[in-house]
Amino acid sequence: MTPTRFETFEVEAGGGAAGLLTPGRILKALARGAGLPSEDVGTIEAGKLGTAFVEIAAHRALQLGTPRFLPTEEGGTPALFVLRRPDDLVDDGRAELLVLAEDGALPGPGEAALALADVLGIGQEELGFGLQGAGFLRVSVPLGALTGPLPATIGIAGRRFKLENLAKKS
Amino acid sequence: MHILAAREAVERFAHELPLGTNGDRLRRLAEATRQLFDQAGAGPKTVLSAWADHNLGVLVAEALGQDTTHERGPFTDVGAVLYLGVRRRLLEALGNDPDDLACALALALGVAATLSDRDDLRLSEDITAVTKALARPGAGPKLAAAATRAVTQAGGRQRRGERGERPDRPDRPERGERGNDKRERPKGGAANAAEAAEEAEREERTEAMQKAAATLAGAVREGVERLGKRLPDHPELALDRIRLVLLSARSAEGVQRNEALSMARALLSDFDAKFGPSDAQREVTATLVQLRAKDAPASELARDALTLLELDAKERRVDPRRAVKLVRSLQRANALDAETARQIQRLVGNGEDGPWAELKAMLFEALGDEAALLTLQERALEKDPKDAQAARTLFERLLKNLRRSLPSPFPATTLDLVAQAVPLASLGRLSADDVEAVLHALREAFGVDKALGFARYKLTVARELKARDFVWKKALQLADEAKDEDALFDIARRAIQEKSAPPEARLSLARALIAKGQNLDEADDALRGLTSERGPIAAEAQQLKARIKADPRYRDARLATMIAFEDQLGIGTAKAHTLKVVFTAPAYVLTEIIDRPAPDFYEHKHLRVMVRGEDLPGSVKPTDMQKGDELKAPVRGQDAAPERDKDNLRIYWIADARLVKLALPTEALAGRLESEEAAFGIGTGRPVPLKISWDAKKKLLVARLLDAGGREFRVRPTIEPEQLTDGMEAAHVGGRGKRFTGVVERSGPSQYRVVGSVVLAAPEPAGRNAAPSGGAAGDAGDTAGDTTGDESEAVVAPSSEVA
Repeated sequence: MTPTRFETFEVEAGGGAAGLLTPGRILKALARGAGLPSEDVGTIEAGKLGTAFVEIAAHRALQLGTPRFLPTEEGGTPALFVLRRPDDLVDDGRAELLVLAEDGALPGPGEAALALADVLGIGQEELGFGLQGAGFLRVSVPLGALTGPLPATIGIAGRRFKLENLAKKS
Repeated sequence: MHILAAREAVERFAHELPLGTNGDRLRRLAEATRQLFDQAGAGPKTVLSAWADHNLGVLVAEALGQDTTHERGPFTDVGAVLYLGVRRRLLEALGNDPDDLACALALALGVAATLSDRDDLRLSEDITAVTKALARPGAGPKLAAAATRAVTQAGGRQRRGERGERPDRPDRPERGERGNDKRERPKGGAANAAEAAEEAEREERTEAMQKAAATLAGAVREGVERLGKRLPDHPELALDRIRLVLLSARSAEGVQRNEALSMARALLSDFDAKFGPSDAQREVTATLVQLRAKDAPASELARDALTLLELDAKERRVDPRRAVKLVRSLQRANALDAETARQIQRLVGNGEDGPWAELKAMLFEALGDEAALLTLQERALEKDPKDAQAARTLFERLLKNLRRSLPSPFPATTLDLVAQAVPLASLGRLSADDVEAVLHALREAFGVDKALGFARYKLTVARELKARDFVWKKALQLADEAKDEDALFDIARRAIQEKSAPPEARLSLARALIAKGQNLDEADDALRGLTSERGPIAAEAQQLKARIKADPRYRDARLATMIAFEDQLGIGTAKAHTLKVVFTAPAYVLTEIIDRPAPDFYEHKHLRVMVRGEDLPGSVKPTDMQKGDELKAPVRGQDAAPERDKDNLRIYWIADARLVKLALPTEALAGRLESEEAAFGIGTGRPVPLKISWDAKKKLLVARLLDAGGREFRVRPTIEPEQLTDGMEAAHVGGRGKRFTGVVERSGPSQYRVVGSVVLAAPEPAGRNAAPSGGAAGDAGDTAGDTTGDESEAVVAPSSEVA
């Protein structure tokens, strides 16, 4: 019997979801978000806080484009994992920001657009892809908008949020 | 829009995205969005579903945002499909969260991307939402640019005939130009009618779209101006402003148009000074040249166009599409002389035919280089047999030769390609001689079948030529000659639907159908209207009509149709039909089954059923009924006797008199006649106006009782010859305008009689102010008023008899 070959991926959970990164939850997120059955997943090894390394069978890995978002939920709370390869390219012209909630409630897209447009000096329509995780938002904005110092604290709809540049963080 | 529909649309989008780095990235985003929709479920709106909707907008915007000014991006087609599938959800999302302008951006880009293929008025709803979003303080230049593109796209839409083919799309076959493939042939008249209706509807929608865009352009312009103040050094915003000014010039006339064009020129000059040249700026300049072609001096236009081309040439970036736009503008303004053409030729160089073919053709034409032009177009047509532009030019050359009685300027293979690809719009101005000459040339080269094909699929389909009878005559003649029955039927049937159809088309169709012994009804219809005329055509039409009538298959076919119709209605079953009275007589009532219309050839709109007096229930008599009354009864049909019923095939009776039910109670019917007695002066003992005549067939006198309005009482009172005044003969009692007076009373149920002698009334004066005549039995005419014994009561004779 030919031994199965694997490719190693990194699974990342931002913000307060770092503690959710257990093998069971990773398998569930991979099954729901990437359609990967557990038999195609090899070893799962914990990395630094909020990351884990996952082996995926080579024949399935070939079909996986990365970075891949795996929005999931845990106990009714939204959570977000990201599956990536170590050599993934960064999207041209876009930057990923983390909006971390200090009191738990996350803003909607309109509120986020209004606040970020004001802080970053962009048009509200330029707020890109946004995904909600446990206690944080991950949003994409034009790279050229990041002229001020980050991290920073911003107010959205009367609540306070911490803004972080995800690329710098990683 | 339901969340599941949006989810399906996103899934399909992810599936159809092309491969590649960007495609894969979009696919990953689409899959994450689909998962968000899965999580959000079908429950109430939450922050999660709001983010899913936001991401949906981002997906649409990312897919459509890669279009450039004149090239569609790699994801535009699949993005446009996604936009059309989810636009309602995007509108809802924008309505729920007006600050989420990603949805507005998606709508604006969606409108701009889909308008070139669709004349959908609903899209103007999207533009409205976009202009509202643009008014929000947080709107940025990206949304302004997309909104500008949407309104300029809608406002700059060209009508049919003005539209050019999109360079990135292969030429689609023009309607009606389907070559000789039988599967693709137009479906005759119905297809043409549908095509005309569709075209009219498209024109209407384009016009409505242009109006909507013109209305909304003001709001977009305000938004752009506002943003421009905030971001004065933004080059795209400055260009958007110029684009909007050009849009207003496009829809304006006279002074306003000139003012707008001058303003655009001034703004462009400011832009040049501030930002320098760019590709987008040159595109806008080319549009300005195009709009000024209508009224600007030719030399000025030529100078502007050459400057633009020189700049492009200097940077080795001459865009064939823009060059064509410029040269076409020069052509329209009569500014393309040989010298200018030569200069342009030098600037653009001698590129490959493909995208440069149209430009080269225009330049060769301006230079008068006919040989080069012909060779170029022949090459283009050989390379792409559907190249309408090349076919048009070559067809014009062919016509030029034929008009001078010269042979075709190109070989038969090219002639064949030209005949197949020539656009219908190029045929509109052909004269009868041109048609004759082209068909003759085709016939000489390929035989009668090819000429017939050209006449059938091109000439008789071209909108302008459809209205000319010589085209139909010629096509029918060729079909006869080729003995092509299908073509003959097709051409004749389509011709009949045209107002200008020659009578020969009707005759040909009828002749062919009779010869085939099929569809004799259709043959009969085709001859309708021809028999009432005079001349040889009418004579032949009458002969053909007689042949149809004499054909037993004709009667049998109609009989079969009637019986099938009876089966549909339920005639001959126990079904109680609703019968509506249309006519009453002393002995019978004529009714109609109004459920559904009878076949066309039936003499009346609805099937008529005879109800005899004895069929009516109880003491109700036919005279108790009146027009509009309803009754229910089962009906049976019976073959008509040809000797008695002339053209009737079937006659209908009440199947079972016991089952007849009247809508009104019998008491109400009986009382109805009594209530009318007073109005007619019956039983009052006073003389009432009567019209008396002699029924020569039954040998008895007929009296008709009239009221003051000239209406006749529904029952005729009996009268005997002895009751006439002395000296009057019963056989000569009647006469036009003659009136009598006499006393009438009821003699039994629904029976009346004249009592005592009747007296001849004095005739009514001929005119309202005329003096009364001396009482002679002059003919005052039916329109003149009659007088009764009571001078104050005028009686107008009825214009038609009631019974």
